[in-house]
Amino acid sequence: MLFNSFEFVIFFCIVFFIYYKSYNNLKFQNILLLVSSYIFYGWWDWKFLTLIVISSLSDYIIGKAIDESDNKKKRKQLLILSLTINLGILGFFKYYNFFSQSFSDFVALFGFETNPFLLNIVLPVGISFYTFQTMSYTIDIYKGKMKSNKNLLEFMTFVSFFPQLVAGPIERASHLLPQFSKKRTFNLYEFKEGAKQGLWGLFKKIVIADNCAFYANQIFENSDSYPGSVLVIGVILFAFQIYGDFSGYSDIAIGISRMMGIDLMQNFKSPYLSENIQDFWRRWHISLSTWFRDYVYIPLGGSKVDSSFRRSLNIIITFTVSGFWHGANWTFIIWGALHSLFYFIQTSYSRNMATVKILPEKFVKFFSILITFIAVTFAWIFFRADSFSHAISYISEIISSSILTNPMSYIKTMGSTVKPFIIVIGLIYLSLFEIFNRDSNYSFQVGHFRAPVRTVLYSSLILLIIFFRATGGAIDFIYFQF
Amino acid sequence: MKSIFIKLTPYIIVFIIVNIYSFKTSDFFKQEKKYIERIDSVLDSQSEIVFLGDSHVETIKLLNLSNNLGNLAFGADGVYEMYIKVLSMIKYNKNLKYVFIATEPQIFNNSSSSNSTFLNKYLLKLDDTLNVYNKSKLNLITEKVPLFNDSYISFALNEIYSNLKPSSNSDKKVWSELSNEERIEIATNTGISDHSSVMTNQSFINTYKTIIEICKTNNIKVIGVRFPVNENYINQCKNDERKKVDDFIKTLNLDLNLDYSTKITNPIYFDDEDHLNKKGIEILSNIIFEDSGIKIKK
Repeated sequence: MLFNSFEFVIFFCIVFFIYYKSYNNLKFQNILLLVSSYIFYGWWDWKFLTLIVISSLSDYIIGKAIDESDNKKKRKQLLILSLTINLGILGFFKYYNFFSQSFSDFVALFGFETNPFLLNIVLPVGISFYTFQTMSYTIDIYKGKMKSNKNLLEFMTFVSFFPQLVAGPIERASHLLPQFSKKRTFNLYEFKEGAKQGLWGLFKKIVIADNCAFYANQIFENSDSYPGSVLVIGVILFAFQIYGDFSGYSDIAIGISRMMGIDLMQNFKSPYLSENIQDFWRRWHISLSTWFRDYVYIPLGGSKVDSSFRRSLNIIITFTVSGFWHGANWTFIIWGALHSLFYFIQTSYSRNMATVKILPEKFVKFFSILITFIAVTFAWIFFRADSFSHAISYISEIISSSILTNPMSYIKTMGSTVKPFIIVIGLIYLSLFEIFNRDSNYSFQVGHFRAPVRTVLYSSLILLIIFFRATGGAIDFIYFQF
Repeated sequence: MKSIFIKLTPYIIVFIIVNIYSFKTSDFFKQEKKYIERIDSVLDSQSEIVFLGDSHVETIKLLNLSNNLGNLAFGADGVYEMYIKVLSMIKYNKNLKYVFIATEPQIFNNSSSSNSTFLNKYLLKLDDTLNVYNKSKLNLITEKVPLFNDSYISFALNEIYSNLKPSSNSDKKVWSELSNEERIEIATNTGISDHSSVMTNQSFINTYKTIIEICKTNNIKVIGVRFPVNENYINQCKNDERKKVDDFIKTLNLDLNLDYSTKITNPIYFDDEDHLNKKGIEILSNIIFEDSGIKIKK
């Protein structure tokens, strides 16, 4: 069930109506959320509900056992068991074929021929999101950061909460779980803000992402037929496609949760206005980057290690693992590694820039944002390409003389389903809000305007959603595949 | 909660008014009405022979058609639309014996048809096993609301877009009265846009194959047909893509394959670069009769 479908609108209206009518009954509300979450997930494939139930039950039991045990060794063993179950499920469904194929390719380098035993595995939707969420629960209990939850219903609702189940934000148990034990009452302000954020997310998905996808997909799928100039447009459009798609999903998830009185963490904060790569990761997929910071980078020693080599290694490992989280393909690993490389380059150049006081501050800021955007967009080539060789040939064409070719004649041959001016107007609208509300929870902040201006802005957003939406049918969210 | 509903009321009223106005006044819905009427009339008459294709084939409407013949071709139709029409015919027209189907390269280009939502009424009744439009029944129902109808939105935007563009002010001239250079230029431009990415959409290819298989399973004879067009139009289809189409059509083992792309070349028989006029279609109908024994006009 996609957020941008009528099925979901009907589903949510029914759930919300019953939820609203049962504000005084916490247990009933949690049962409702659990059942509706399982229906929501089962809409894709009910068979995979078993995985969520296994993950929920095992972490509930193990979390409780860790909490109740004073024996350090036993606690550690229990944590390892929890990680083994979660990573085992994730590893099998997501990475088995990758490792099998990579092993075969590796031994082939030494002249040994093996036939990799590949399985026809269907990746369950959202598996990377909910396994990371439940893992953080047992790790936090082990570290003594939180107590285990004694209520199975609340815990299962936390794991499967439908707005963020399939594509995040990846919530921390310490933030989300307690909200299922507190009485939730209707709050008009939160309801309105949630609805607005949801609408803004819908705009980003169906106006920005899906329209950009029309061209970006054609360009990446037939990159051999296009000159460098078209390929540059393709990757820029992909940059906005993935941003609109993923942040749009997050905004809808956060928005509808807010309408139901549940607060989810912010996942994006105008990432294309970042001044460096570090800043980018503070603004892009925040729930994942902070997860890796807390559970990978800091346990490795973070920045508090003696040698700069170890510190750099920790950064490289964190970025690379983060890339691997996205998918079982070398392109994602390279994408993550590239970000670590850009991080080092930009850190050293920023130091030099800081010493140059001649240039106006605004210019330096603009220049930094531009450079960061170019670096991030360049890395997207690896993220979007089918293979490493595809990415290399894509880049080779960009750096050839064909970059000087007029791209418009090629764009015209891609069909007239999406008019380029729709994308341009959509991006201008998005950029204006992003620039003026760079550090807000979400960009569509219009509360401070007078009523007539607000009405104009709401109407413009609704008009854009209705008339400028992509009209080629509903497109899946990119991050569902992760 | 009440205050939210009060604030939303003007938006809802405007939404309803815009929908009613669009439905009553837009050419899109007038076209839809015509489209449905044509299919229904073919179903009512239980025609033995039907023609499927886009505007090229649709030109047979200029003839006084035989009683046993139904014209299901419609401008902008693509493979999916032909598939749904065939499914409807097989389900509701037990007399069907022959299907003339367009085999022209532009049928296999990568663009989706603007007519897709016209067929929702039939899709709701059919068991469309391929789910060609990838739409749920709920989608098909909600598309009855103009502002929820993707095809209508595209149509409305195109209308606005063309109204904003400066008009050329020139009245449409008779095709045969244009200079040769003018004809070449027009035919080339249309040919380029009609033949973009031919045979690249695998789903179209598979669906087309399914149409033929369904007909064969139901003992319906399938006759492939290519209507005459200006040579500068057809030449815009790349050679390798044209070959792919030809090879694909050969694999389908049609009962008869009629290629008239260059059979009629004199501009006096054309309405424009890729549509015959009344005189042209009369000539073609005689040729079809000679080749297939099937009488198109009364």
